[in-house]
Formats: sequence, structure tokens, C-alpha cells
Amino acid sequence: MKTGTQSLQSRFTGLFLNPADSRIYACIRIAFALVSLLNLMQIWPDREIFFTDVGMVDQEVVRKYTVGTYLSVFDLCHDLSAVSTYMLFSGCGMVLLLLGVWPRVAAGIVYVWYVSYAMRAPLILVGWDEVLRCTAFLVLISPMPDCWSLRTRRARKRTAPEPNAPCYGLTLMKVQLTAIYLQAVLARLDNEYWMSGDFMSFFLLSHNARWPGLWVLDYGLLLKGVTYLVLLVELAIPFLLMVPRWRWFGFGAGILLHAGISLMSYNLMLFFLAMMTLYLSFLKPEDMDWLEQRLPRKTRQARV
Amino acid sequence: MRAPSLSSRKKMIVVFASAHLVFLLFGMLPVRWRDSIQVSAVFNVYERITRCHQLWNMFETIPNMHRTEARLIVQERGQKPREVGMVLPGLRRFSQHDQVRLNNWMVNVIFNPTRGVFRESYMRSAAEALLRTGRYGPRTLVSLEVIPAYTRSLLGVRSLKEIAVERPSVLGPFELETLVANKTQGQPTP
Repeated sequence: MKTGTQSLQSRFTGLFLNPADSRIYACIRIAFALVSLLNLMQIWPDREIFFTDVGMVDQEVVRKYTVGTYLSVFDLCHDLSAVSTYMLFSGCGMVLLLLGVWPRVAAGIVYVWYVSYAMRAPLILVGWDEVLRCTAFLVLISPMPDCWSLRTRRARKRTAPEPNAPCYGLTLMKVQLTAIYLQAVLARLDNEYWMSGDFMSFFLLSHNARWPGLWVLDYGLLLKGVTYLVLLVELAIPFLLMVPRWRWFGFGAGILLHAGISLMSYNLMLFFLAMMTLYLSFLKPEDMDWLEQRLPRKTRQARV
Repeated sequence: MRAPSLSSRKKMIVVFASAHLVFLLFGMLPVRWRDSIQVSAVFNVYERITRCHQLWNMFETIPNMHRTEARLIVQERGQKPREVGMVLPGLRRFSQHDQVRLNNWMVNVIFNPTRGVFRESYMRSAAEALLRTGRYGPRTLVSLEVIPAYTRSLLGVRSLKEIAVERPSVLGPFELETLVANKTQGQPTP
């Protein structure tokens, strides 16, 4: 009995403390920083519209209607130059995270950026903002092993290379991805358009679609099938990814699903990339070996 | 045989990661379901602290908007109404396809009946922007005209060979002077 309890306990702690390949964390850090930079670049042209006092969103009204405490760096930024400076500062944080220089501080800067703009302009948020904010939190609390990073020679001498790190960050990212898909599917179960299979036809006639037109009606039956297939695939992806033998089917299904959404819709490429960042948590050391063999020699050396 | 005891750092990791794991597992439930469970208050507090909102209702309802146009209509006394772009600052034109976030603002503010306070705030800022151009007097009337085209039922689209039907709505007209005065006093528009 006691041995059983101990085994259960060690299995549970193993969920968080088992060694994970440092390169997977590095891969997620780099991918997340890149997607964050792309997101920042997407917001940049409209920064005056969303974040300044002369824009569309009145900070005082937002503050008044915020549930909980209003905490945003934009509280200190009211005009275009201050907003631009803060966005450039956050961009520097993303570059530092990308390079692995002071990664924890950089991850903190990036997380604060996501929280700040979500607070300042909650009415302009899109689906991938939420995904990226949750990922930012998980990256911030995850181990930051010195791997695939730019470090000074002195820093390299001072600390020994860390091939492994506790796996809790990866475990939480995997569960986060599962939560996204499962909640999305469960929430649609009592929606008549999803259940009747008409969703995809309406989607392709909406402003979200890249080519809306009467052609959609010619494919009614096919689109019904696609609607049900989307539900099935979203439900299956987390389970496929978790079973080592089937995880490449999970990756394939996820990439096809999000690439399909990006192809058929306007402006959803960042959603695809944000979701793919979480997919990276399902990589295995052997995938990293394969990837490392294809990287330039200098990058491989940076690992040690 | 005794299992090796964990260091305090590792214990901290296990405790925190377990808490976040439970949070994520609970977060898998749709909002309606979890609101009916008693521990949802604790969940909401944790969600607010970490800012990791677990609301994954992408396309939960059908996207029923085929296109949207929006503009300000400005009319000086005794003159013809003029169309002006509604994007602040600069009174630029709104483009639904190029500005996905602005489109979300439109959906969240203009088409959401509970967001009247944001609409009022927008109208005041628009009035200030119009006055700042120097082209309009304080007694000029301004209104926000929104023309959404809603997708018909699939049967309707098939029989009429037309995807959407326009349902224009107008917010206003208001005098620029009145809107700006309200902004200064911080009182809502009547």
C-alpha cells in the first residue's frame, strides 16, 4: 500500500520534475519571441489608434470598467512618442528573449507587454492575443536553460552546460494546448449551427473569409462534413500529440487545421503561429537531435 | 525503501505547477459550465492574478456579418451632409479587412448593447477631432453611421442569390459643442 502511494507520488512529481531536453525549452523560447515580434509589428502601425489619448479607446473609461485592478504600463504613456518608446522597449525584450540574453528578465518584459496592452485596449483583442499572453506566462515561469543562446565567454566559463531541465513548463504548455481545444469544442456543442453542420458555410460567407461568394452554396454537403471534421480534429489533436506513436499525426492534423484556417481567412496567420508555439512542447529529444544536425555548426556549438 | 525527499525549491515547483495544472484543467470547461461550479470564484481570482484568461470560445457562434462599413456624417447648418472617416486620430477611413483589431472594436463597441459608455466616449473624442480640424463650427451636427450587412439564411442566399442584407444604424446626430462639453464635465450623453 505504502509502496503504491510512493509510486503514485513519484509519478505525480515526475509530471513536473522529470528531466526534459533543454533544447525544447530553447526552441519554444525562440519561436515565442519571434511570434511576439510579429504580433508587435502587426500592432505597430495602429498604435496611435489603440493606445494614445487621441485614439479610439479612452483609457479612463477602460480603467473604470476594468474588473479588478487596472495595471498597465500604458497608464504612463499617453501620447504617440511615449507609446512608441514603450513598444520599442518591449520589442527589445523580445529580441533579448530570442537571443537568450537575460532570458528571465526578457520574458518578464514580454509578459508585462501582453498584460499591458490587453488592459489598455481590451476591445481590440483577437484570439491569438489570449494564446500569446498565456504562453508568455508559461515561458516566464518555465526553466531558462543556457541553450541556443548568445552568452558572453565569461558566462560560458562560469556555468556548466545544462542538458536537461525540469519538465514542468512543458507539461503546463501541453495542458494549456489541450484546454484551448477542449473548451473550444465543448462550448460549441450546444450551438445549432455547429451541430447542424452549417457553420463552415456561414464562415465562408462572412467577412472573415478570404473568398466569400455564392460558390459556397455548391459545396454545402462537403462543408457540413468539414464542420464536423473540424470538431473531431480539435478533439483528437491533444490526444494524438500525447501518444508518442501518434504524435506526428497530431502535428500533421494541427498544422493542416491551422494552415487551412489561415488560407481561407483574412488575418489569421498569427493565430496559426501562436498555436504552433504551444505545439513545440510536444517535441522529443530525438526531434531536437534531428533538428540540431540540420542547424549551422556555430548554432550547434552555442548549445554547449 | 524510502523515496528521496525533495528540496524546498523542487517542492515549490511541484506546489505551484500543481496549482496551475488544476487551474488549466478547470479551464477546459466552457464558461457557462464552470460558472455553475462553486470553486469558480477561486478560479476567477487566480485567473485575474495571472492574467491567463481561459476563454477559448473562438467561433462559438456563427460569424453572421458579411461586411461592415462605418463613417461619420457631419452636417453644418444649411449645408449638405458630408462623409468623414471614423478612425481616430486623423479621421481616416475604416477598412474591415485590413484592420482586424479595429473590426473587433467595432463588433465589441458598436454592436454590443452593453457597451454604451464606450460609444459615448468615442463620439466625444470624434467631436474633439472634428473641431480640431478647424473646418467645422461648434454647432455642427455629427452622427456615426454604421452599415453592417448580415448574412442571410442559407435558404435565403440560395433563393435570392444574394449573400447579405444591409441593416444601417445611426448614432446621433449630436452637436459637436455638446459632445465636447460633456467630455469636459465627464457626464454621459443624453
